[in-house]
Amino acid sequence: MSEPVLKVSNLSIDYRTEQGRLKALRNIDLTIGAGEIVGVVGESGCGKSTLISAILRLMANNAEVTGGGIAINGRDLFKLSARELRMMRGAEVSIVFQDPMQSHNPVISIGRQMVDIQFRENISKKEKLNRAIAMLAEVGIPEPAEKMKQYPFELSGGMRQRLAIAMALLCRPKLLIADEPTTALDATLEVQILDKLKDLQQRYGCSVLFVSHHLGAVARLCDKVAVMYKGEVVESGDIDTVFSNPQHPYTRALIECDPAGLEERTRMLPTIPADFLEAARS
Amino acid sequence: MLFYTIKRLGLAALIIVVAMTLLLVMVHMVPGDPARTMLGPRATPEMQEALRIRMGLDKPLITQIGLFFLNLLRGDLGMDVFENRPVATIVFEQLPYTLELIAAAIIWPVVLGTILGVYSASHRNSLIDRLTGVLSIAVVAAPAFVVSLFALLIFAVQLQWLPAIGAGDPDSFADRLRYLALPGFSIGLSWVGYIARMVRASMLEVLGEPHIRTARAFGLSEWRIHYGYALKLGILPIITMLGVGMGFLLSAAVFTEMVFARPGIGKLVIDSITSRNYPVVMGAVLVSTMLFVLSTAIADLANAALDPRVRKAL
Repeated sequence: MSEPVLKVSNLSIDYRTEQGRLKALRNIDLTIGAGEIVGVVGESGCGKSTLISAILRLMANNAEVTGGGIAINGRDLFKLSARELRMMRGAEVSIVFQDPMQSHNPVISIGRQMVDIQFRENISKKEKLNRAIAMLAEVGIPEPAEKMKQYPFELSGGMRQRLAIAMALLCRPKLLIADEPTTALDATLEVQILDKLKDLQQRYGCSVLFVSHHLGAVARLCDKVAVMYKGEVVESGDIDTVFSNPQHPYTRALIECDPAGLEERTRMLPTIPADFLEAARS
Repeated sequence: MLFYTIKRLGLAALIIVVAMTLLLVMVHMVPGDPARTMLGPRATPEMQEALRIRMGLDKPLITQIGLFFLNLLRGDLGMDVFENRPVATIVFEQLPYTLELIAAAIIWPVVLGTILGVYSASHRNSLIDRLTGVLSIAVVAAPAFVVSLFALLIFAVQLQWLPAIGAGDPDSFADRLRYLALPGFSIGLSWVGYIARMVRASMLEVLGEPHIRTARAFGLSEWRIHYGYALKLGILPIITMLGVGMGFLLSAAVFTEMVFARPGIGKLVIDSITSRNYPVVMGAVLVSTMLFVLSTAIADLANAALDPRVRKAL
């Protein structure tokens, strides 16, 4: 088998706070092979965002790696120089952020932003612009050439998320991270965006790390899944195995909480208590 | 954008009309007869009456105001009482001196203040950030005329590097620049600190926004992120502030023109107030009001030009 695109091994990250150290990630293991779509699910605060920011090395200032490492295409991420890191971002790993309303600069035109991120390519500005237009057409944005002169705020939320996907794919990354790309969108758009993502993934052949707390979305898109709880990966494996035969009590509870799986009407939706594991053990 | 420009300039004209009307009413309401004050205690009532008629003071207030604006439309600001020259000519002779002083006092602080502000924001808690922080408070607190006096003492009297008074040979650009150095430095110094602090705060806010993280995630260089992506947003509040700041700049210019004995609108106002030369006072005040109103209008237009969100909302 070839080198995995992403290999997170035994990674632990702490946040230094005034109240002491906060263990955000504990001994995380996660591997993504070429062309795989891997989902990461878990509740808010379980460390999903910390994991993503670590993979791009865009961690908060008070974050500290206390153990383990991340390798991207076989290279140790934490040993890259600032310059190597810049060359890696966008080209090898790129990301679609959660909130499309705020993830683009509001006073720089779409065309300019899309040309700027192609700074590694040795082609003319005209060609870069053409590539950007082609990519916008690819993600299903109508009248892509006209969009070049427009600004992100002139697009709707769904279109902005398509723009974010187009920008993320523009430099042909090996790994695309999608950080809850559909959370800020409504359900109809969510399905459209997910289908588009899957379609593009197959055509470009990149790997995808799909982060979500929406089990339905993960089931729709991913080949493998890792379930995170309180900074740890509690269960991982093929999507069908994990969802049809969950081994870990938290995974079972999480699946029970998915409103799509409810069979009868209820006033109280199932929830997971904060001290879930402690309660389950006792 | 064109419609907005017309609308904004129309508003500027309206503000000038309102401001000048208020000024005319105020002059009218101030106790004392201008004609009597101007001619002194030894003038006969006939002489006073003649001057009143010449200045149009015998007409009712509303007619005076109407005539003022009617004449203004023709570019006629009235006649100087003592020299019998058109006020417009006198004011426009002095205007370039004040304009070049304001330019000298604002261009270098904008450039230096912006660079220091961006640098401080991108290198927080560095030595330069701390120095800029302390020094900017120090210079903001120092009034322009105090700085002027010390600058005179140090650079003109002690070191004798730069001329102390006057505006230099009008035909030689280099000479005029030499004469502008000290007054431009004195007024501009506190602006460096002020702009640096504003830019730093504004930049820190912008750098915390999610789109900056996006720019980093795509590997854009820190230089481009700070001076390209962030500054384009961070500079917007500074432009508005500069538009309003023109008012302070004009009043600082009055002091500085006095200290350096430079010709200019400020000195003209002071001189004509002392000699009770009302038409000249009115003309000079009109021109400085116009400068102020125009600069706020230009700031608004610049904001619209630089911020597509504002442009779209018009």
